[in-house]
Amino acid sequence: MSRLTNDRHAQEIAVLRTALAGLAVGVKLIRLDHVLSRKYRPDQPRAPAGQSDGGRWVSEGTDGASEAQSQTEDSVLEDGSRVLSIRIRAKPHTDWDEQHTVTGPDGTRTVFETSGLTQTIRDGDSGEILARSRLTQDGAEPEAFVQLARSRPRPSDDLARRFARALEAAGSLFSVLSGQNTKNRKAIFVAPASEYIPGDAYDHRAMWVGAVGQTELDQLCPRNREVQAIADLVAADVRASGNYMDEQDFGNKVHVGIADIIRAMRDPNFDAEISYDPITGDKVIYGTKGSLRLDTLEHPRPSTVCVYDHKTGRGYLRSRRAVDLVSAAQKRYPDATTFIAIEIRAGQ
Amino acid sequence: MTNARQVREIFKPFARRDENWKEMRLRFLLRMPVRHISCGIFIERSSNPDSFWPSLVANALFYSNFRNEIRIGTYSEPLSRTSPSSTACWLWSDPTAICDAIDVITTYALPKLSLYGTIEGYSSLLDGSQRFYSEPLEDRMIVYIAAGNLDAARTIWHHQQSRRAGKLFPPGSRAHRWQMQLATVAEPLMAGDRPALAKILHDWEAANVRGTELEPYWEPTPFPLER
Repeated sequence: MSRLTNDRHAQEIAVLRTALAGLAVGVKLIRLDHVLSRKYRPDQPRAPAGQSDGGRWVSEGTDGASEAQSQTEDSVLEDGSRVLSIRIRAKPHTDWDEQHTVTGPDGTRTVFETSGLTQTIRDGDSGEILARSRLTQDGAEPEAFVQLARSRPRPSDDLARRFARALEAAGSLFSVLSGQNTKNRKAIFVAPASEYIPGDAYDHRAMWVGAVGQTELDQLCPRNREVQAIADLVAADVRASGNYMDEQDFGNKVHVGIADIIRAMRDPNFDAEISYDPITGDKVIYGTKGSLRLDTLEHPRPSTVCVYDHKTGRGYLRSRRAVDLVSAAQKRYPDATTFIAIEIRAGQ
Repeated sequence: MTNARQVREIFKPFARRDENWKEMRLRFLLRMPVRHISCGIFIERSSNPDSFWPSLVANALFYSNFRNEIRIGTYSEPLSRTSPSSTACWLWSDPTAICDAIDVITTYALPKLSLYGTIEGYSSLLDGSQRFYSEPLEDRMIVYIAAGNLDAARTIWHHQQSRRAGKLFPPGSRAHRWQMQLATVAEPLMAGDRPALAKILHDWEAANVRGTELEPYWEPTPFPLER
């Protein structure tokens, strides 16, 4: 077979694969629409806007032990973003499929559909697919997709702006999902590989937001359990000592205590309480005006940077900070391809 | 919050007895003279007013367009407590902490700073045995050039040029600076033109130092490359 024929054959296979992927998503959308029409009620319980527990899951609507199940939650964040989450599964003890619709403060809607470890990100109004990726042990790998017939091609700058909105929406979703972290299941925000530059390859912008189990977490950020254990230990020590004035002081002392332990390990790929210039990615001293401070940073492989944000008490990771954290890490490590943000709740 | 008065207690034995040390603002003790690499001890603070952390710092001054914070350095190593009875933490409320800090600086940090303050000593970091040295390859290439090891610099150039060529990086970003560094040294490095390379490094060093707090203490000198 000639090389030309091989290439054509490969192209045909790629087209068929993307068509199949698109159909699979279409089927999921129909299922989700069906669930929505049956299950969603505007009066379902939700965490009220402005409260400290805003962004927490509210389980709703179990169909029964042997039938399809669904849950919905509507969360409002401090900046006015809204996250409507729908989770469905065919049977108990099977994985949930999820659809999260994030409405930004300006009304921009972005939809995150997750099935297993594959996530599709769409424009919530046009249905246009903005990105599709699969979570692997190396991070978010871009997957091929076909565009819906009704969506029009965008100029690259327009696409970049839309993608930037999707990034902000991802931060909002990560903030909400982090509020549901458990001991063995945590939300992660796998950010795109690089800042957008006109002419940059489209597949550099794969990202993934969702909750993963301990196995996946261990593959991506091998020291996550260690970070959690240190945070728990320090929080317990500070609490037991009673040597704090208020919850803010408690939080400060926990942060510094965690950093003391991690710095004492003298591992340059595992560092804590580092301040960065958010524009250049250069390190700066503590308290530098406009600097961004990362709680703990793990650099397990040249390709991967894990950023841990420690929380105590009722504080939660704000969506803007989630984006800023990974953005700072991107600038510091421009050759890395995978940036992962994880919230660690001390004393969980 | 850690303040100058507290830090002075640690710096006092060095700054007041030895002309080779200059106490700078923002909790930094600068080792004199400053030639191609500034060296010193930095006391970092944190959100806990009782907590501090000393580091030994070396800062290569001859990279392209790189006015790096001298307290952060291009090489920085946190100093751990040595007292067997102490915890990992440096706390002002611990009566042994100041003595311990002075001891660690004297016995551990000063010999290292003496070594890393020279191009020859600093380039010993490049062999990878120092765990805290994690400078990017494009900056290591410049250290090799300064040390006169052009073969090692060329190896890095060829490796990194293939990664950076044709790509667009935002101006001001680290990757953009590395790209510019590769482009500037390309021709004289390939030609083995030592005087041209030395001029590039001298120009960068002067641009990085002039107008900064280091300038009064800076002594321009030839690079090993020029010997």
